[in-house]
This record gives sequence, structure tokens and C-alpha cells, in this order.
Amino acid sequence: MIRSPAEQYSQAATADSAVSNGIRDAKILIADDDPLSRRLLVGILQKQNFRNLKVAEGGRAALELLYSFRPDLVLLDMQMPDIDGLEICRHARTHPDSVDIPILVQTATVNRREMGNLFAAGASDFLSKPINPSELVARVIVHLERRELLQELREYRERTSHELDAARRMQLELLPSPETQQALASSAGLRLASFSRSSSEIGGDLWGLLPIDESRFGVFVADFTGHGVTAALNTFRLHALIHEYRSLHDDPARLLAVLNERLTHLLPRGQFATFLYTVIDHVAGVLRIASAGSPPPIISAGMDGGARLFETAGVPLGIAPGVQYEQQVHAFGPGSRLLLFSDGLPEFPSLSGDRIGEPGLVKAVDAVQPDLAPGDVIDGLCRVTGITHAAVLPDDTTIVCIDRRDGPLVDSCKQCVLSGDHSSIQPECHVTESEKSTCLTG
Amino acid sequence: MFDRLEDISLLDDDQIDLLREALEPDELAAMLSELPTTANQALEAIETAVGSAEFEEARRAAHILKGAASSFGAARLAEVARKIELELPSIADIGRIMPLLVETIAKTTAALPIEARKQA
Repeated sequence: MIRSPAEQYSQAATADSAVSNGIRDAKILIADDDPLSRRLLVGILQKQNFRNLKVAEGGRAALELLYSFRPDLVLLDMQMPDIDGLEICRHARTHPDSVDIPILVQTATVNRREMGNLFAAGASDFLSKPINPSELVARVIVHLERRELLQELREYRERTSHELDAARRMQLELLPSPETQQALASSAGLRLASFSRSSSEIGGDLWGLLPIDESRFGVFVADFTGHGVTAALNTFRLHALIHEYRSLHDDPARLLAVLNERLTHLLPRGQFATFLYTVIDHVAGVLRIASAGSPPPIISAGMDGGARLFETAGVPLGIAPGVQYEQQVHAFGPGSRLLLFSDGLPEFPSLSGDRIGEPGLVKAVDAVQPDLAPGDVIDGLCRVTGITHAAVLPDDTTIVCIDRRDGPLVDSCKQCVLSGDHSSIQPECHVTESEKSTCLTG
Repeated sequence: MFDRLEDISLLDDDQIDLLREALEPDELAAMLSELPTTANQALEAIETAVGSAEFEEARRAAHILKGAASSFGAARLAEVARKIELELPSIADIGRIMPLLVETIAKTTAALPIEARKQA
């Protein structure tokens, strides 16, 4: 339960027994150049069972004790001959150890400008003079309780941050490693690159590669509603489900239908995922695609073909049971390029607030040099949309770019791919000079 | 200089009652018995400052006296100290008020032991 400061104040003043022992053990520094005033403050606090008190006879001693005693709270006289209270406040607020300790300044002033200076210098609160013992005790307790709550909150945040960091690493492990991506792509005679970044520590996007056999593999991109922990937990669920239905990896429409049935029962109302799945048959040069409300992929067919959106339809996964999905087929011949992405890419707001949208993305892909490597294509798209390295993403964003820059797969080439034997290059092999060396070295 | 100083009671009974509730009786008695010493030290510092025409030094000593006197319920003494610290424009003016300060300290001192004995 969160209590208002006024409630805390009143409770502190009245419900003495509720004050924790931790508060009574708090270290309190009393800085005042008048011995009698120091003794008065000590006497009042000791009567209230505060046991851990230290006194400073002036500003310099107060500064020293600030760092050696490391108090949890400071009671500070405004006017001391060597260093005044304002100066001590300013000093404390620049030091990491004392930047957030409560500093209660004793002052007889009612001048509004002086009060303003006092708070501007970093005082947390003030104690009016003459000292009112009840007010002193109540304010001390309120500030110590607030400090204790802040410390608990900080510890909670640190713990949560560590846990989120662990969750983020686990989520990263769900994604294909760069080595897996390159191994699968090169064995299929393709080039592949990806980009995946969450809007917070963990996110609701997931993508993956599903090897099927020597001629085919699947690629999926999923995007759950929302961001953060809930969405991320759903990506773990989906990842497990996808791998549970290994026998359906070669059947995009049926895979989506089964995933939809399972997720409809698993997900609470209001949570769902868009999902795009394509099986790439690199031997036949064909894509088989099914979509569940996902942004349409962008396909450039052949070296000379323009880029276009491959319109797909389908209900997102997890909304309603019994949904059937449609498989569509598209050629993926030599020179083709496939771009899969979550809506974080077209919907990313640039500095001027504009979004490139799907038509803008098609234009950008269309303008790309045919032989540009997929990683460079993704970098270029990020530049065009405004996604920089330092940009904070409002939505989780995934991009997967796959292209086919080999010639038609002649028999010898297929042998190359299947056997890993790249000892000779045939005249029919449509490879660039730079790719020849890769071919020859495997 | 003080049109209505006599209207301010020598001791602030409400403040002393608050201290009584907040402190051990012996502790309060001991502190009250120290107030005259603190007041006389301040008086001495102000006299020295007046003698050497150190205006700021006089104000600073008056500030300490004001704080201690007000916190321990010595209301009239606190008011004289406040006047010295915040209102009197020159060291000469402070010099002229010294007899009143001496008299107020004496009256407060005479009154305080009675207050202190109330604790016993």
C-alpha cells in the first residue's frame, strides 16, 4: 500500500510503536555550532530511542562526518561560522554517497527567498526554530522511512534489472546464432542477415530458422501484442510450441492452424501474435508462405525484378479457435530477395514523426543495388527509417533479409551445396569474382 | 527601541511544556541551567565585538543566543537577540542596547532556576 506523505507524517507522529527498529538504528548527524542546541536535539532524539547519533561542532566537522560516519540523515544548522548549511547541502548533493540522504535544515527564517535558496541548495526539508520536539521527531521519522522505502525500491530495481538481464540473454538464445544463420544460408546457396531489437530489456518479437531437409528450411517472424515481460513470456511459449510441431514445419498453413489452436487456449483475452511463416525451397526456387495478420513480406523476384509487397491475409494467432490459413506460393529464383519484418520497422517514427510505412519500405528495397549483401540492405533500411544505433525503439523490431545471388543451381552446384565439396567451379555457376573464392574455400 | 518588550513574557511556558514532554526531567533541568552560561558567553562575544566595532561578529553571536534562547523558552531574551541580529543597523546601535541585554539575561537567569526546579 502506498501512503501519501501527509498520511506518513501523521502516522509517524502518532503511531510510535509502528516505527521499525531499522529506523531507530539509523545514523543521524547533528551539526550545530551552539553546544546547547546540539544537546537539545540529542536529548529529544535519545528519548525517542534513536541510538546512533553523532554531533559536529561546525561545518567543517559536518563535512568530514558526512563521509566518515556516512549518516542516514543530517540535521543541519543554517548558520555556522566556518562553512554554512547551504554550502554543506550543495557539497553533499554533488557526492554520490550523500546525494540522496535527507538533510533537514534548522532555520528561524520565514523569508521566502531564503527558503527557496535552501531547497535549491539541496535541503530535503526544514525544521522551524524554536525547535518543536514533536515536529522534529515526526520529520526525522518521515524522512528516514522515505529513505528506507527508496532503498528498498532501489534494491528491488537492481534485482529486477538483473533478472530482466538474465531473461534477455535467455530470449537472445531463442534466436538463431549468427553461426547458425550463416551455416544454413550458405548450405542453401543463400545469403542471410537479421536485425532484432526490443523496445525494452525484453520484447515480444521472435524469429527463427527451422531446417527441414537438404532442399528446404523454414523462416518465421512473430510479434506478440504489447512489449515487456508478458509479451516476452509469450515468445517462450510460442518457441516451445513451434518446436513441438516439427512434423508441420514443411506445411505453413497447417502449422499456423495448430499454433493458433494452442495459443487461443493459452493466451488471455487481448493477447495475440502476428506470425509469418515461409518455407524456402532453394532447390526448386520456391517460397511457400502463410500469414497470420503479419506485415506482408517484400519480395524482389530475380536480379531485374522490382520489389513488391506480397499481400497476405490471415487472422493473428490466439484470437479465435478453428481458423484456417492459406498457403501462397511465390517464385524464389536466382537474384531474388526476401525481406521479412515486424511492424516496428515501417512504423518507426523518425525525428520529424513520419513513418516510412510499407509502401515506403518497398521503394527503399527497390532502390537497393541488386548485389548488396543482406546485412547492408538491413543497415540501409534502418538508415532510411531513422533507426540508429542509439535510437530508442517504441516497438520491438525484427528484420530478416535473405537473397539468392547464385546462378541457376546446376547439378554440379547442387553437389557443391549438398556435399560441401567446392573444389571446382563450373562455367554454368553464376558467381561473382569475390564469391568464387568463397566457393573454392567452402 | 522596544516599544512593547515588556509585553513579551520572560519565559514561553508553552515551549517549556513541549520540552518537558520530550526530554527526561533531569536532562531538561541540566540544559536549562546551562542556558545562562550560553547567554553570558554570547553577551561577552557581543561586548567584544562592540568594543572592536565588528558588526558581523556581534550579529553572529546574537544569532546563536537567539536560537538557544527561543528553543529553551526564554522568549524575551530571544527577542532582544533577534533585534540585535536582524534589526539594529549599526554597531553603535548594538552598543546602546547592551544594558537591556544584560538586564534581560539577569531576569531570565533569575526566572530559569524556578523552571528548572519544577522538573525535580
